[in-house]
Amino acid sequence: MSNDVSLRVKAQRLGGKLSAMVLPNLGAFMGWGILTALGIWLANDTLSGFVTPVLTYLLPVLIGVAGGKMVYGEKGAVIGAFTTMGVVIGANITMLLGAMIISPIAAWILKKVDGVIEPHIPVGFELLIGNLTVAILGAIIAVFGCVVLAPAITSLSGFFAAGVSALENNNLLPLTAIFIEPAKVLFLNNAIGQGILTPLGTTQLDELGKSVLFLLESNPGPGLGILLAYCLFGKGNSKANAYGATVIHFFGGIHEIYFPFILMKPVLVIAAIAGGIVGTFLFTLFGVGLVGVSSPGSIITIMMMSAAGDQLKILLAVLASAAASGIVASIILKGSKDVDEAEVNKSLKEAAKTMESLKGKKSRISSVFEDKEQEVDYSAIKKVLYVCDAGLGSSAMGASVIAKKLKKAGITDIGVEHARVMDLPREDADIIVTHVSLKDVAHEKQPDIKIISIEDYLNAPEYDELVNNIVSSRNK
Amino acid sequence: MLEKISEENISIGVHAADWEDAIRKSAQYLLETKKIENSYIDAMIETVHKIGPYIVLGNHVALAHARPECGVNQLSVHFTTLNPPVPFGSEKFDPVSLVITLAAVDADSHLELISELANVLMDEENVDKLVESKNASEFLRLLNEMKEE
Repeated sequence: MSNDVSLRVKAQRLGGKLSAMVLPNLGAFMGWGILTALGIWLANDTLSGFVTPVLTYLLPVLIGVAGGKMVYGEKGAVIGAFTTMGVVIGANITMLLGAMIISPIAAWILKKVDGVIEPHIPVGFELLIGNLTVAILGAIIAVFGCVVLAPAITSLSGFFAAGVSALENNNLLPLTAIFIEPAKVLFLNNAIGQGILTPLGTTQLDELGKSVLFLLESNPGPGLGILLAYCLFGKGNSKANAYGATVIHFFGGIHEIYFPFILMKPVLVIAAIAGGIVGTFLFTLFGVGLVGVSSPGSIITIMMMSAAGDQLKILLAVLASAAASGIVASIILKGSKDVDEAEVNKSLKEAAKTMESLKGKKSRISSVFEDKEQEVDYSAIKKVLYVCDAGLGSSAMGASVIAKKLKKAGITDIGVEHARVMDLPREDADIIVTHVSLKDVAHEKQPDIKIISIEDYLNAPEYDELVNNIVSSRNK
Repeated sequence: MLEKISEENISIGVHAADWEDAIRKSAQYLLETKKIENSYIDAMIETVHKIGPYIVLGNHVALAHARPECGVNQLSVHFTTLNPPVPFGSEKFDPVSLVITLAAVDADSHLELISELANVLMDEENVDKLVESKNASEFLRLLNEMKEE
């Protein structure tokens, strides 16, 4: 069991990292999709002129920037982008996957090398030597990417693509739903969607001009069916919540909202699989596809990204998959023993909690079911991080006040540091303190951590609250 | 580090038209003595435009500052009391009557100063007394007394 969990956590982490490289760039992916769709539809050479260069160069390099930045900030972004050019030039297929591999590795190597040589740099030469390490390491790794990594990924990609087209040719693609739908509910949706299907689908675009793979995970049909079944046959809170969730899911494209409804009654995953199989079967039967990534998986973005002339067929397939999952879910829900309302409410809240623990962090969705803020384990706090915009004035002042208060309370083993909000996320921090005007930025940068927002750097009542919480948690 | 502050680092009863003007005037001496460049003043103002009055610390004190790379030549600090006090757009702590302009060269070397300042400024009475100083020497004397407490 414990092996099981750690494997899931590992997959989630990897998936999180892969999608973190794609997510910041989704705007560019979709913009490219729009240009491509319009270019083909209008047969306009100016617009079509964007298609290949953006796909070949810009999108991988953007991923390289995000991948490098994730590991080593701005310097990592530079070396990530630079080395990505190595794999791009070394291959004749789209190197999204190559960028995802080489950029974090290059940034990681740079970080290690910098760590070794930094203490030995004479004062005044930091900038020069800092740039030289990027230049030299970047050049070496780029060549490595071009000569070694690019051919390796090309053959790996060919292998996957062959697998996918074998599935497609034998009409087995619908069976992928057996894997995709349960994995989605375990919050591997981004890992599958952006980590696996996006690179594979993008490769298909070169040959076919559209790809059905973009639809496999983003199809809102299965979730829609389950939510509608709850709207009709659900009880109490779950029924009340299902109405709003339906809209958020189908039009907002936030699939996470239906996961708790499945976790509450895990057998419903059969309904999701049924919906997925029907949807993908119809997608392949109609031969439809999207010209770019549809994220979030809302019916609106899917319609926008549909290949010209495919809109109606895709809509039909999505609705059919909703019907399939809806029917199965209704049977399951109707057939389940009647339980009283309080019981149902309890199980919905429990499911939301299960979901949080599955995801390993607080989900923005769980607030729909429960407003209470996540409790922090104050006894486990080892580092308080105070952030502000510049990272040296106000935050240093605030950090110094908190440090004094902790010391006064007799706590000496908690570090209080200050940093720029730009430097978030900081994995070593256990709790973040910041000015109220920066709370949203901080939350966006590091959503899984408790953030204390203050107005008064010098005498914020929140400081005393924090210190009291820590002290009382330790006295327990 | 506070003990290195001299009367030149203090301006008393400065009249400012608005918060921008207050920041400019509070940085004037540092600019004249080449501790900072003009770009640093612009950066301090830009930050407030961008993020809001987050440099207002509380107790009617503002800590004007920006990043070292925005144009700092030497670690320095300047105290400016405003007469009349000027609103900085902080709902809770307006108007600001004391501006402390901080020019740091890196993330750490000014921490002792900051820590000493925090000690003094946490006490609202101290701020009131400092603001009421009639001249720089009185301000300096009070500051040193408070530091000892």
